[in-house]
Amino acid sequence: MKNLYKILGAVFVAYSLVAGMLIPLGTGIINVSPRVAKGGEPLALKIKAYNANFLQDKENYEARIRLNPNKAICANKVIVENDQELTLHFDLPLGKLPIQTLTEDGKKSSFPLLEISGTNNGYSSLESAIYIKDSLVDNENQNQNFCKIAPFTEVSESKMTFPFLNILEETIRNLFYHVPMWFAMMLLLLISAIYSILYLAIPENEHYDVQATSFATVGVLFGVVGIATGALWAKHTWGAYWSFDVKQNTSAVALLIYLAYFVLRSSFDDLDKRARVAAIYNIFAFAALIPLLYVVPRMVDSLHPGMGGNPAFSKLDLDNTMRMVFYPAVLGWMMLGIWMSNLGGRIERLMRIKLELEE
Amino acid sequence: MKQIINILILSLIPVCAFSQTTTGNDFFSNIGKIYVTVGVILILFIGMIGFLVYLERKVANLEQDIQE
Repeated sequence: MKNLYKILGAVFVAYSLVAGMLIPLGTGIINVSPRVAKGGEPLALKIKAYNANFLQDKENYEARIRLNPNKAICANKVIVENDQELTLHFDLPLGKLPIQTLTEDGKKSSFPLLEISGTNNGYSSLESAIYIKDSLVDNENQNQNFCKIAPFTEVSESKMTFPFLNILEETIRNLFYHVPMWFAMMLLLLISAIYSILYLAIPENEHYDVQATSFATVGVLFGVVGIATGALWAKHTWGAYWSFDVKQNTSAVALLIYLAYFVLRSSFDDLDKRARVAAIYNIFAFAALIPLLYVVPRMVDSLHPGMGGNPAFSKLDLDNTMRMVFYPAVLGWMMLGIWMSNLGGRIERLMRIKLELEE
Repeated sequence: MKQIINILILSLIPVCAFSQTTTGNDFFSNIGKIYVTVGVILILFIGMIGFLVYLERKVANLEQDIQE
């Protein structure tokens, strides 16, 4: 029973590795051409998709370009070129098109939004897919061939997929490997701070000092892995390993504060004094960690997914498939982290006992 | 045992059922940037190995002292 959390941790992490890598992404639109069209003319829009299986949906494919929440231009013909390519035929209306370019709070909107849906491939969309030049015709002559925005036909069988988001693409899976690092780090450092408080509150208990250090060590290890994995990902989505984004900067500062904790510890020879000073520093370090990781990044705009209108958690919050992998991954890494910390603590305690025996 | 190892290795290889398309030219942007995720898992693995090495050195110290 004592080892249950270790087994569970290993099983959860193994599950998150396997499920997180094996479940495929949904269909996504990578590219459309042409990107510019003119009102009043027929438009043949070629689209290139990712992870699509268009040949299976040959009969029943729907597509439309949404101009605003209520108006759309529907494709009158959808031709399946091959598994990954479609050609959509539109008759663009004359006159000024009611394209909503800004959202209500003044940000760039997702319109014109290209939406496609098939019974087998499901729904996929591309934001700001095409630029449509208005044709200069009197409003009276305007032929209003907008179509009604009706919900697409339901997907026949629900397949297990992760959502396809442009830019993120397959790296959406990093949610199961990068994000749990931070969750687990937070828990380990919290436990470390609690041990430090206990050390100060209960006299003559070296055990708490040992545990506090051990948990902080593994917590910082997780933080370093979190920063490194984030940097690798940033290189291929933001363009640079380090782009001085708020999230990157504050987490680096938080880790430096904890590195100073270890420097502080190693600068004392007297065990008792070292434990007391380190415990006090550890409590302050944890107190600084919360605003650095949870308050400051929320106050400034950041590139990080889930912030500043960037796609991530707003969409993922609704995605049950991702949750099914994400929560076990977080729990698993937390339990593994506690296991690792306890191991380090046990070895350190043996070293202390050995020192006492020598004396 | 060999089968179990094979299954473990295979589970680390991404299965992209219909991923003939590529979204970029360099290695990492290939196949929807899946290798970025593979790299992330590799870094995770390196971090855990790093901790093992740290424990290993502590235990080795302890063993040496006990022998003396």
